[in-house]
Amino acid sequence: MKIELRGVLKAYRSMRALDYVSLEIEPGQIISVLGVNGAGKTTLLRCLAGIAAPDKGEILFDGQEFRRDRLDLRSRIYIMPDFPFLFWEHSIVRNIAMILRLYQADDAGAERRVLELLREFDLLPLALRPVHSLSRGQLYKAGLTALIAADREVWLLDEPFASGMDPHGIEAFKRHAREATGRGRTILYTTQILDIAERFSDRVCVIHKGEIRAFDPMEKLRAEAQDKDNVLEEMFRQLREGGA
Amino acid sequence: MIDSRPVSFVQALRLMAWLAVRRQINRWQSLQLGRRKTDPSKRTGTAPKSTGRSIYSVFLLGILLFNGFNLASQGLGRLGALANNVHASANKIAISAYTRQKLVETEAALKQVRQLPDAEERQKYIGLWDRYLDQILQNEVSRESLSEDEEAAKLQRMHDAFNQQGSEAFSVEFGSHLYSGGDTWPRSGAPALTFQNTLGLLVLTFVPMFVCLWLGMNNKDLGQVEWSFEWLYGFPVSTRALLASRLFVYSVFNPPVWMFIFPFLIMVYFTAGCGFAAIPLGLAATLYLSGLAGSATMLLEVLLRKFLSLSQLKNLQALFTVLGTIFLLLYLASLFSQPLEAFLVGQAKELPASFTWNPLSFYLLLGAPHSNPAEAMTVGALMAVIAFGTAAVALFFAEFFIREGLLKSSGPYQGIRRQKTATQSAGWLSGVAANEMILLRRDRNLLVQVLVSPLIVVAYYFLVNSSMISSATGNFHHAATMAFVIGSYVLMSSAMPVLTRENKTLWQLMTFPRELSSILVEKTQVWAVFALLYAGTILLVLAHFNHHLHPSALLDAFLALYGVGLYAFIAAGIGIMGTNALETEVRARFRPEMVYLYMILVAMYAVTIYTPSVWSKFAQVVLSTLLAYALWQKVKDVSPYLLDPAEKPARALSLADGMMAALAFFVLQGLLGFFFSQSTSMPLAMQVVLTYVIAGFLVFVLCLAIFSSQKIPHVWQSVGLSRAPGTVMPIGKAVVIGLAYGGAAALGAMIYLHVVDLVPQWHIWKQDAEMSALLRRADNPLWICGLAVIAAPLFEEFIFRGLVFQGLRRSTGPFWAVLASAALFAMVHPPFSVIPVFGLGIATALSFQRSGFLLAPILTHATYNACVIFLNH
Repeated sequence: MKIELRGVLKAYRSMRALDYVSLEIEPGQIISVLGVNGAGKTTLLRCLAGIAAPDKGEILFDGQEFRRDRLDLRSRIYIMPDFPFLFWEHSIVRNIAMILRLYQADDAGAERRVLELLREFDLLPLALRPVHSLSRGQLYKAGLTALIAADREVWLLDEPFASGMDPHGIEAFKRHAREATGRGRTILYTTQILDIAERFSDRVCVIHKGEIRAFDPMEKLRAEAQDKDNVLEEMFRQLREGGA
Repeated sequence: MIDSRPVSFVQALRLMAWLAVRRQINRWQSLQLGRRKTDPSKRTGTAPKSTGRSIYSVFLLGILLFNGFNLASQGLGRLGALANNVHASANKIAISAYTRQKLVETEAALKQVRQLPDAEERQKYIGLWDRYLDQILQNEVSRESLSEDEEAAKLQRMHDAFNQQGSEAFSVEFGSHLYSGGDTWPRSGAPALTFQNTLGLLVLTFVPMFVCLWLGMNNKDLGQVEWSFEWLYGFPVSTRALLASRLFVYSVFNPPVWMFIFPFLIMVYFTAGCGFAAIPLGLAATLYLSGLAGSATMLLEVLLRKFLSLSQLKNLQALFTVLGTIFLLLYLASLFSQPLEAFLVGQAKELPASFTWNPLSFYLLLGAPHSNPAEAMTVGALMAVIAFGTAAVALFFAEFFIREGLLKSSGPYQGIRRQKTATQSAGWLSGVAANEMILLRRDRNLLVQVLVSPLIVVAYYFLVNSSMISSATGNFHHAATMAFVIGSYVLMSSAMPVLTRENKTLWQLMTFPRELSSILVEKTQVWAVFALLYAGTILLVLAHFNHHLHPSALLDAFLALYGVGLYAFIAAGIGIMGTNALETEVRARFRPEMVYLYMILVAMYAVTIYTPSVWSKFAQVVLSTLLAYALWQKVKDVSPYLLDPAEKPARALSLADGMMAALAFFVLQGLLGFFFSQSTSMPLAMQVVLTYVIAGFLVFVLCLAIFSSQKIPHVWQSVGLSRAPGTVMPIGKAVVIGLAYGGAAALGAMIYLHVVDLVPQWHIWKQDAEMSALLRRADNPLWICGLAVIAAPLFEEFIFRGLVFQGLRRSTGPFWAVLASAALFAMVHPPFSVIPVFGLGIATALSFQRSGFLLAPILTHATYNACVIFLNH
């Protein structure tokens, strides 16, 4: 699904979290959204998911204008918040079943898919435990299971690499994400870990004070950079010096 | 394969509602009696479901419902009678039918008597009948709970009325039955209207009560950073379906509604003569009210979350809790309290008939006795229109206010924090205590529980039972008890959860270079000061209004204040022992039965403030102090291993073991004594000795068996029955020390006996003690000698020196251990011998301390007993 932002403004009182942002995202890519704390990364994801409505401008999915009441478009998007809340008293399985039902993704193969994912994320022994008894990493993996099983066209993830997941879980997530882009899925995630962004993204989107400062493939950034080993770090240093 | 067809409104609504239903069921079931057995090796808990718990929750639900019906039935019965009386006796004095009958008789008799020709005889009979009249009226007046002045005034008024108008001045009051029946709602005329308006007034508070209770107590995540609604908001579900599902949940799952209001409304229609139709009518009315409240709650939640910051929200939540509780207590009080009922009926009498036609009361007419089917249908239709209309309006506005999304400027994800330093602002407190005060200031719910709810409770009791004020100001015993009980009540929400509160912060406390138990002590001290301030203020206020203050009040005040300070530590100790620190779910962290244990202990202490006996007061103080010490000894043992119980070393002997053994010893003696007296015809002396020996032996064997099964290291050494390997048993030394200390203690007892002989009052005491001893000894002195010189030293020394003294010695110096063990030892003896036995306790403990071998105190005890028996003969 192609995503377009045209002059999107989202302000909180006097602070502009998104300052007339325009972007075009082709499907089938992994995009890391970078930026200092408070730059507007999460707001971008939330606008794309329909949790916050832009004050000005428009968001288009496959050329159709996106609003919160476009449930058909929203059901093609999945957002994973920084802290997947889930229904605290219910088991992992019940939570996943509920989410899949909401996305109408509880088709015949869903059960098998979920089981395989749970096994992959080492969650099978915990599947019937209430969510409140899980650790943060386990909780996040449970959320990811629902996300991967639902397999929407657009995956939005807030800080998946600061979620307490174990290396095995991170690796599984990366593999599934790669496979998904092969099926034409678009994956946007925010992160502060530049090493990961350098290696695990097709494009890097850098937001600074609500503006898009870069939206380029890694190869292009690397070609332009002087310090080839620390492309993104150099970029952030420049942003800090220039924008201060 | 992607199916982009979104889930429909109805589907989403059903799904969300079902989830919420499950959530409520889980929550209800997780009100558990016992702590779940958790395997320390596993981090994660199991789903909180079990058959036992379900049965328990159904049972609890049944009790609560019954209670609701019971309250409503009694309250309505009284309100019905009041509504009748307020009209019937507009200018007449209402009295019971019996009194009225007697007055008519008296009036007739007086009339006859006055016509008697003989003046002297006339005077005599008039006097007789007058006295009879006095008696009747006095009986009538004393039926009401009036103060003496009020009683006298009313009596005078009745006399005057009778002298002027005779029995015509009085009317028969409507009997108020204990329970209401199908005819409690007056059928016609002014009383019917008054009753209807009374109910109309009473139910006005229902909707605000529901809203406050839900927003205050039931909605835990309103003030949290992660609001569950925000997460749901990301799913491809229409905003309206989300809001509607919330509205549904808020309308249907407010527990107080089903516990109190549903039974009340059923009873209302029942009193109108609706019979079993009262159940569906009550259900309809309940749903109507809770629907209104649900709409308001849903809209308010969205608005509050949008416009207020998190800290403002928390303050507001606390306020809602207070208001909701006050509304609920007002409702309960209007079913209990006679002054409040009279006030309600008085107000209702003045109201026009149209009053009931307000949206918060008009549904009462659904089943009112005078409403015809057409009227009832209109009311029903109107209820549906209003309920659905309100819901629609609430949904519309809620949707309107979040059309921009669920964000606000100071949202949790924007990284904006207020610049505020909290560390310096605690003033004269520092460290842990300051932290506790900051917690109190920040956590509004705690603030309300600790500071406000005790006041509400006191006000409620005064409202329900107005005679409590006069008793508390008139009798300082009552005042002291009240101060102690309220102080203990404050402790229940402050000191008791001192560890339970440290949910995610416990590991942090464990990392400090201090013992956790000392941190907990400091926290407890803060709450003790708080509770003492409360209790002290109450004492001062009540003493100020007390006009007959006696010097003994000082003792009462001391007992109350000492008790509050002590119970802070008992509450905290019980709370810490009842907390499962590994459990992450807040409700399952604490064993609720511990609260009952605490309340029983509080009640026991409160009773001793009443008891006149100084000795039992002393006993209670000693026992409670030792209990607190034993609890904290355990706390100190357990606290370093709260987060990894598997690391916990084998436990050591503790004071608690000694106290349990002493308790078991006395309980066993009681049980065995009862058994022997019922089943055998042995001589009394033999029974006494057998009981004593069997109980002592059982305790001895059981203790050692339990200790070795719990793998307490060096049990035999700990209780002084063996020495460390390689060292020689100091038998000779023990014998010398034992005999010497025994002789000294016996000498002390002799001096005491001589002193007692000099004081006449004490002499009587002594005779009493000797009489009862003689009675037991009469049949066979040899048995008793054996008991006193052999059995008693063996078993009592094992318990009081081997366990109690050694348990104390583990964590305190010899001075306090000697004193405390001797005090406990003295306490279990009859009052007369308390002083010499206290001396014996000191002597035995010292001889044990000196020799380290239990033989020494046994010999001391035996020597003492032998000397006392010999000298008494």
